Amino acid sequence: MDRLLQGLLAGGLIAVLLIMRRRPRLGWLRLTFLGLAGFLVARYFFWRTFQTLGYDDPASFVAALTLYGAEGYGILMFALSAFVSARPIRRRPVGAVESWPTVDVFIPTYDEPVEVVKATLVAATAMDYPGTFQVYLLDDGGTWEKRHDPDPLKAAKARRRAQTLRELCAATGSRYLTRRDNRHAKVGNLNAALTRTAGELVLVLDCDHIPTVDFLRHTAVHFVADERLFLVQTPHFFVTPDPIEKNLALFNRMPAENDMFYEAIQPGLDFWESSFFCGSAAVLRRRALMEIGGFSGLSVTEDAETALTLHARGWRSRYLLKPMISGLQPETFTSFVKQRIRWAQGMVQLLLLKNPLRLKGLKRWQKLGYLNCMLFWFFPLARVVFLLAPLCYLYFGLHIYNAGVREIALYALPYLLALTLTANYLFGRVRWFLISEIYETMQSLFSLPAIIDTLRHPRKPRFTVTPKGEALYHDFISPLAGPFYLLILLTLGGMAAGWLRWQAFPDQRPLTLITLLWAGFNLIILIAALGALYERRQRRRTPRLPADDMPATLSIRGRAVRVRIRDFSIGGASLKAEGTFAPQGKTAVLELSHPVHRKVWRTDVELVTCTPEGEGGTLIGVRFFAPIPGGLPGHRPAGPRRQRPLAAHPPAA
Amino acid sequence: MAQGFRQSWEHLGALLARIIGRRSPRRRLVPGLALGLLLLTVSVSALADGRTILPLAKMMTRPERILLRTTRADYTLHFPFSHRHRPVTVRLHLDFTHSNALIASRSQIRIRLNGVTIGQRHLSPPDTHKVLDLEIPPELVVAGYNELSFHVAQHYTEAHCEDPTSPELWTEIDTVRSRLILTWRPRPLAPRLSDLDRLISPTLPDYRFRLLLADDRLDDRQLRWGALVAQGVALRRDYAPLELALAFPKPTPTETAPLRMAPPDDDAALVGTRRQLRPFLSDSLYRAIQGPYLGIFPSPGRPERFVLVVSGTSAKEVEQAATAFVLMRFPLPDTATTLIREMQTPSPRPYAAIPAVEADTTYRFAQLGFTTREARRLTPSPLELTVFVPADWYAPETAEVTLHLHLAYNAGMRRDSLLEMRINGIFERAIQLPEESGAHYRDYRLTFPLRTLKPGINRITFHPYLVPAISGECRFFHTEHLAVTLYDDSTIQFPPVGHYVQLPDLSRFAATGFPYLGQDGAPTIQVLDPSPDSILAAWQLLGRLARINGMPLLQTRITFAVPKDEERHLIVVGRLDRLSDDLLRSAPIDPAARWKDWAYPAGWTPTAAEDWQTRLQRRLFGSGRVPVTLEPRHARIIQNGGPGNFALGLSFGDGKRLVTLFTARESLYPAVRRLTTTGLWSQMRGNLILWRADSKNLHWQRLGPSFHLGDAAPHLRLIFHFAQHPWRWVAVVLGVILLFAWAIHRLLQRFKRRHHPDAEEIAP
Repeated sequence: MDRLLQGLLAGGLIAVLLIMRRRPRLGWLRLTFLGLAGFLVARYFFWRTFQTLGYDDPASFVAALTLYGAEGYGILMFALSAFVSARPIRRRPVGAVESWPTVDVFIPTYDEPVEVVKATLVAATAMDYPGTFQVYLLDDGGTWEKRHDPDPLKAAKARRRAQTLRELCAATGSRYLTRRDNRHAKVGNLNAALTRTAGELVLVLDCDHIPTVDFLRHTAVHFVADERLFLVQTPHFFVTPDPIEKNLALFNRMPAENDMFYEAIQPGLDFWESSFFCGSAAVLRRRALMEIGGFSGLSVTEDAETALTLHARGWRSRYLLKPMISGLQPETFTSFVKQRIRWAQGMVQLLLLKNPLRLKGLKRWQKLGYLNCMLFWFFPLARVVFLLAPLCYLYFGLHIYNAGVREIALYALPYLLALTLTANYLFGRVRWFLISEIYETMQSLFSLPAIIDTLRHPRKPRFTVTPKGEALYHDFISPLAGPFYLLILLTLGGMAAGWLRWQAFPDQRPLTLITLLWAGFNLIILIAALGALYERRQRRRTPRLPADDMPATLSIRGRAVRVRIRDFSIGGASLKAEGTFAPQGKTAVLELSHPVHRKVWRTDVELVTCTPEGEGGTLIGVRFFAPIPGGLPGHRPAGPRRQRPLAAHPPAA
Repeated sequence: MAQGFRQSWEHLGALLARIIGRRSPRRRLVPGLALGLLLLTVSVSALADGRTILPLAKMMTRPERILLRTTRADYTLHFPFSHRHRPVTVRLHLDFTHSNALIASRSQIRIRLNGVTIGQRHLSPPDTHKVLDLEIPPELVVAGYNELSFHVAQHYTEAHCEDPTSPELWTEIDTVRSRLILTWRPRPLAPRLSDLDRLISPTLPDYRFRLLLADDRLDDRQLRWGALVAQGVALRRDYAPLELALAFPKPTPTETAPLRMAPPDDDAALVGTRRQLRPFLSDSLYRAIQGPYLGIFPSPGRPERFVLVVSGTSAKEVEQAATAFVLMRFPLPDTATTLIREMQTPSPRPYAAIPAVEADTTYRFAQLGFTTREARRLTPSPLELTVFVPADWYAPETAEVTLHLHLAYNAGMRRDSLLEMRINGIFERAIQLPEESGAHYRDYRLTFPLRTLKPGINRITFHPYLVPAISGECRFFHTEHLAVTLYDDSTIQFPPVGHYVQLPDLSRFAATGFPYLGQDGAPTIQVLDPSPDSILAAWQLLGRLARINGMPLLQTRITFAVPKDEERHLIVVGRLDRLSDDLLRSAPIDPAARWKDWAYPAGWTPTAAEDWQTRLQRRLFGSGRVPVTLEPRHARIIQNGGPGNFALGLSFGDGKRLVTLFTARESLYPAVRRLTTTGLWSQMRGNLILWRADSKNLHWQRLGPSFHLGDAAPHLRLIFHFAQHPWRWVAVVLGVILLFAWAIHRLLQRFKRRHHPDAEEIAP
């Protein structure tokens, strides 16, 4: 096709895409957008395949094929992503039902700080649910094996921790469960609990995932309406920044990194009947679980594996786009990378061991949905190629991309614009431009060896717990920064080599310039990544939760002052009073009404700070005297009416 | 001419002296006088001897000045000399200029003819412009092609301490003023049919061939016989100019000679049935014609010329004999006459007649006439591969030709040595030769866009630029070892293409004869009037097309009548006043009408301003052309003034066929003969041309509508169509995507109703 024609076409379609961004992103307009962008991508792919691949020399050929493979991966992911995101949906609320199913709430823990577990336990037991539910703390840190560790210090620590948690459970009306050993890690822990409980439904909460009071009301009701429903998954909402957000000081200024998954991809997967279990904040049907012998543990991502297995057996899932838990992000980049490596390894394991394309019982659209989620985790392969490919040309003059400036302008540029516009169109409200590049680049260098290792030994990876609730007492550079220094140096060297190439080979200047721009883009991403590796201190161990200026009353020596609660934590709260406020003592009583029951709740607080704020207000910091109060707002300790005896045997599936 | 006289008398004097020296003075008087008279007669007859003045520029494919650079350089030319002539005198007049930096003691030019040094001269300043006249022994000139070479040694210092590539080392030969002057004497002929190719060879200068027809009432049969003979002559003359003549001889009573006719002025072919030719044939010759007959005889009274008799007992047999004359390009039979009993001619096949490459095919260079060649020393001649590309190829812009080169180069060359590939003189790609220890590449891959090739002959040349590893002033170094070899098992691969083309296009016609040499392999030619002028013009055009084809166009229909078959593409030749309204009903202009609607150039309409890519490239890199495509605009002036002395060529569509008209008010043949010379033929463009018999340039225009011809695959037709109408392409793509999106939308709606009736669509 002639260049003029291609130029007109590409320019015209990009213009249309730009216009369409301002139109409603629903219905056939959404599909038209995806169709236009898909056309530009397919056009690039055909051009790239049939016009730019050629043999010059062995090194160039290998480099060119590698880059082509990375691009092919990107194009495949574009196609799968467009498929998944074609029609995201939101479930409408389901009304009340006559008979509510019984629910067991599982809170598995291993070695997290007691304060973190405490908040979750308190909140879980305070949930409002018309039916019967029981909270279980599944302590894998206090197993018989741990308590009798050959190392007396470790054994003593485990015994102390177990004892504390037992007391905590007793205080909150929840039940403490542990087992003999730690086999199969979290899956083993959950499955052990399954055999000792009997609720019709199981709510799984990570020990740092604090549920809202209405969690069960909104989720359990779906199981009544659909007998073949095995899962209702809800989004994970984090009250702390992940290390990258924190270190780049972008927390609460940009959408959280996981928003894209929970607000865009899961609703898309839900349309294709493929929304899957994310390990927490989800309710599952016991009967379905028992049909497959409990939670699956072949891979280190037991959640997705369990959902995949049940989907293949014809069970259905729903995704409820209503954030109803608040959790903690890993505090350090090391913990963050550890978590992501586990996810990547788990998905690669699933692809190899339970390939959805070969799994019988899955519908075709479900296969594609799972394939999208699994293949996504191969991004480190492509990212590293994109980082190194321009250097192959700048350093060694390898012909990695046989195309002239005009072709690049006519094919590659519209392709890149189409990808960017599509990402913005589908995920613009949940993901800032270039943020994916930073996150993926930062993970790639560390995930890549793990992925390659998993490809070689699919059964090797073992479950590792993501550290939560860590405290950082000083700023430091992450120990994982080394590879980024190296890459930045390499890229800078490559750009210097590019400058020499510019001088020495005037005929190659267009190509050199394009490659330099590419390397420059990589450099920006790498520098941003390096910035995100500067770990800032984090002293607070219990997170503050936003309270949305909830009205309350602060009574000091009989004088009531109307205040608004800005945020609170397990230890205290930040209040704002109108006008000037001069405290007449050190203690006060904080009084507020329960958001659901409207019952009044009071607690004694210690006044810690009192600072005048602009516009005539005063900021007041208070500390709770009883951090484990008899009840937080709305807390009703699980009474005998709601208690059920522990099951001696696993209930029949 | 004066030189010829002088030479003749010198020969005569020498001969006389020799004869007289053997005899006594008394007895040698009478015979001496007799011999003297005889020789005088011979001398006088030498007035008719030929003289050829051959400027060096005429020995070159593309005339240019010869520039000899570096310390050692040479240049070789070839010139033809017919075996029908005997060289009498040969003189080289050489006009050249050299650098004023050369030192006389070490700088010289040497001239060689067929490997023998015939002269040399110091290149000595300050007189830098030199004229050299060299008398060359005539026996050095051989029949066929002779090699004339110039060698220079150029130095700017006495010491052996100089840069051999220094820019002041040059000598330039003026190829227009420098010339070879040959006088020659025709040899008497004893012609045989096996000699035909040598008798009508391109080595003959100023050659004219005469067709002799017995009956001046010409009809389609004679037109066809002449067309076949004209093709036979044209093909044998190869690249040399073709000149035809038509005559109607008168019988003369001669008892002994086989032919009874006055000697024609040129080599000739006497064509007709036995009955028609009866007055011109001896009895024995008449009796010998018992079927299709070819006989070659010395011209009566002119033994240096020949007459070819093309005859038979019927018109069909005459045509068979003429066809045999065209086809007999191998030296058999080695007899003066032959009688043909049966003949098989190859059936026409699309593109088979043209030595053209085919799409989706890989050729070894050897198949395309390239033999393994080596380029050696500092400034070697380029290595050239010639391919003939069919005129109607159409492929996407992305279609590429792939070369797999097998080459080797010597050790001891610097890494900036390279082999540059040019296509039709334009640089396209380069191969660096970076290994100082030499290398041997097999399957070195080069690609270039198919559209770089033009319809017709394309020259892919490989220009070596070889630099010694050790060089510079005051250093001894070799240049003999600088060598690169390109092997003939290298391959060239052509992509799949369609056959689809926009017509009319006279440049395509000139380069390839398309569409007349296309699918059915031959044109239909209508001659508007029976005048020799128009007939010769038609034959001349047919001869030119046969040359492009490389094979005779046996399927050609040539007729005075209006062709009934309206499907075949038509060439019309004739006088302006014989043009009919019916013929010109689809033509953009009617040059014969009383009021002629002539178009005059009136500026240009830019169809596309500089596009953004080029602008970006220009601003970033300071390079890139400004690709404004200009469409000519015309002013139309309707008037009664006609083309006058101009001959006119006009090509236009008439239904599904192409009509190409060549016409003039008078003297059409001299104009057409001029048109068929290489210089003018290659200038044809557009669909309207004007020229005169003495023109060096022709004028052209593009007028009227165009149409498309070909059998391209549907997708190529679409590409071609959308290349002409790009917005339609954009609209179609948008339409298809919208339709696709709507269909998917409906399917998804149905899916949602079935599976998620309680959910609502969201836009995250």
